[in-house]
Amino acid sequence: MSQMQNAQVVKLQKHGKYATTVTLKVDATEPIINKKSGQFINIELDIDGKSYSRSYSLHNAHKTIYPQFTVKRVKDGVVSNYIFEHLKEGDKIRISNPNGKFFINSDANKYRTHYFFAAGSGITPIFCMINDLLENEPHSAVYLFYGNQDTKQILFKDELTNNVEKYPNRFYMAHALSSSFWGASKVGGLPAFTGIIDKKKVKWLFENCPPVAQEVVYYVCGPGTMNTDISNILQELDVPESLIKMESYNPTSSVPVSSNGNGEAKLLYTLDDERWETVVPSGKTLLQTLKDDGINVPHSCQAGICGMCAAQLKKGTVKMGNNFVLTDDEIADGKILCCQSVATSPELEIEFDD
Amino acid sequence: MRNKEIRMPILPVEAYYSQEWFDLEQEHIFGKTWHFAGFTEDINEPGDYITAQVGSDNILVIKGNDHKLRAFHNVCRHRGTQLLRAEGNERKAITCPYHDWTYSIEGDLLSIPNQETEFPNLNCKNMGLHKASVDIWRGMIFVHPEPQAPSILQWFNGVEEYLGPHRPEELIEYEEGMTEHTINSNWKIVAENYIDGYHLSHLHSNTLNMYDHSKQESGFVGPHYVFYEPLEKEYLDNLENYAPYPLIDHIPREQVGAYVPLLFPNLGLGEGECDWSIFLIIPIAPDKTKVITRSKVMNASSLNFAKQGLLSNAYWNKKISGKYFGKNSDDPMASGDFMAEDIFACEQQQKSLKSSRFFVGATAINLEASVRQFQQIIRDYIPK
Ligand code: FES
Ligand SMILES: [Fe+2]
Repeated sequence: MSQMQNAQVVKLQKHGKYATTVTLKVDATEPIINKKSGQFINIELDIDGKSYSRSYSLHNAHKTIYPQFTVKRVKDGVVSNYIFEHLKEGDKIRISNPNGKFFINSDANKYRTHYFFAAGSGITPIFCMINDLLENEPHSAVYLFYGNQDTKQILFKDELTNNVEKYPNRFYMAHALSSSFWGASKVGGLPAFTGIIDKKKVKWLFENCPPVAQEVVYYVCGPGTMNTDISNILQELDVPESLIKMESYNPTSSVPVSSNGNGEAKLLYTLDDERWETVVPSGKTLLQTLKDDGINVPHSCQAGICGMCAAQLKKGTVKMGNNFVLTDDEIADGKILCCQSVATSPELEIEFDD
Repeated sequence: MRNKEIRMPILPVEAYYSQEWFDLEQEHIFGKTWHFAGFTEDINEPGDYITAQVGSDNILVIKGNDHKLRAFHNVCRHRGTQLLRAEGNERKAITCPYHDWTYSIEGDLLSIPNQETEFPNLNCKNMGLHKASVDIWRGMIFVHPEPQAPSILQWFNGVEEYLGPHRPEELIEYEEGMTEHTINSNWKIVAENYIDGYHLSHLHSNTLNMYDHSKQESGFVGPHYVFYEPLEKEYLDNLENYAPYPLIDHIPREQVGAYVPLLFPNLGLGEGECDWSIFLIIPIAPDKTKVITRSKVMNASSLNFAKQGLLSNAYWNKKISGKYFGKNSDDPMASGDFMAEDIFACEQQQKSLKSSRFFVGATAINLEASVRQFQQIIRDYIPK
């Protein structure tokens, strides 16, 4: 996929016990160019002699030699906890160029209304998009509904609240707190509702922040079924599906693939220069099969977005669900996303790149 | 020899009375520009709609449950019947009164009575309402007859810095400010009157004398005319007492005055110290024009309005009068109403157009430059 380059940790900033913002520095001759805010980079870290890779949304839009991202701690997450507990300023890591299809092209001449619905870590790509729009699309308005368990979990709380003050006519947000028992209240002077973002809350947002600019775009990013739930709510409220952009953000649980396979298949795979063999049950994804075998295959989003589980298909056929990464040419060359692939032939052979 | 700049007419006299010119303008000007359709508060609830006459096209604007606006040509795809009346609410769907063809809020054709037997081969997919464009600018809803209209920001590019610091979306409409007049003259005569800086001290010598016309500044930004003049000194010095309504609270003292642009082609604004209004010029026929005005004021209590009225009444009674003191109370020139004076002047001008002796003798170098330029812009819109 994309080339990796070296980067050095220059700043670490902790948010309570919940997250770390990492600022890196790359070589000035090879700046990170994030043309589209909302994209992520893949990072590679060596932890206890093992190499791990993860993808994180960049805060920076445009060209920078200081790429920055925030990592929310995941329970039992090797990488997020390592970053929180052990990563030091001066450490070296390897990073890729920005990737992903969930992004915004901010445009100073555009006159748009952007609605964002984020929950949990789903805020990270959206945070970058919002900053980009507020800075670089001066005629457009931005509205955010942001769901979290409780106030302590809210990433970028101060930055977002400050932006409401800094851009009074262009940015507004409301919180949804799923395990708050206070009823409607305020967080940083902004409305905070109890429960997840449901239809009533979405209606509230549209009533109180109706679009001024009539070119309207909707973005959803959150874990679990949030994306489909919000998308359904939006469509019930007359939003055409074509205007809804989504990204799943689900680093810990797997996303089921809807398509069925054609029975059990034998799978030969090459990982770290070694060949292995296993059996893929009917309808199960290749990634899930390998994970269930206890094999550490690179992956992250498990939704066909991050591209980390890509492999080369040497033999046999698969059926893929979501694909937001591979180009048609890459697919024609036999690239597949393991998290989205089920077997459609009795024998398969794949190879993971190093 | 006459100076080239002051030569008129730029438009031939037929432009003011012929059907041919009228039709050309409808096609090339009104069919290709953004038009005022209403204030944002005219469409509050999902399902609320308004309609706007844009040249020969009638365009409907309806709000969805997402509070976004949709604009369509108000024409049924069956036999062309006008679908919706002036304003109202159609929460679920748009149904034609004639044969009940029904469209969704996205304009898709949803159902046709007796479709199986009467229209077995008709593909509903191709029979959606014709889309138009809609956007909101400065608290006003604008429509454009084309589905892929150029951006409204582009259209008004650069205009805003010459408008008042008013925030019309924070002001509220008052009923007496809503007027509708039918004027027996071509729409361009009304528009030219609106931007004529020369007549202010003359036709309106006793009606618009609270402004200092000698300090007027004007010009064009693209096709749009912009204009500013400050208040006359005595009025400005006593503004708190003499203003007829509560002063608009978000206008800094040094920016008080009258901002009177004509947004091309036909929307005049009057942005003053205590009111903000629109002046919409709708061509009906080559020699007939409808003018709609709507006004907004501060959202203050009626007590405040009454107090301000009492304070300022005596001043205005002394200040404003007719230009001529006629005995006949119907005489527009004795009315003390600048609108009546303007209508009178426009109709008098239209009457002369067909005179064998009609000729524009000369025009003012500075104070009528706007009229010449407006004509040139119209000229440039019409293909030769
Ligand atoms: S895990 Fe991300 S694309 Fe497969
Ligand atoms: Fe006038």
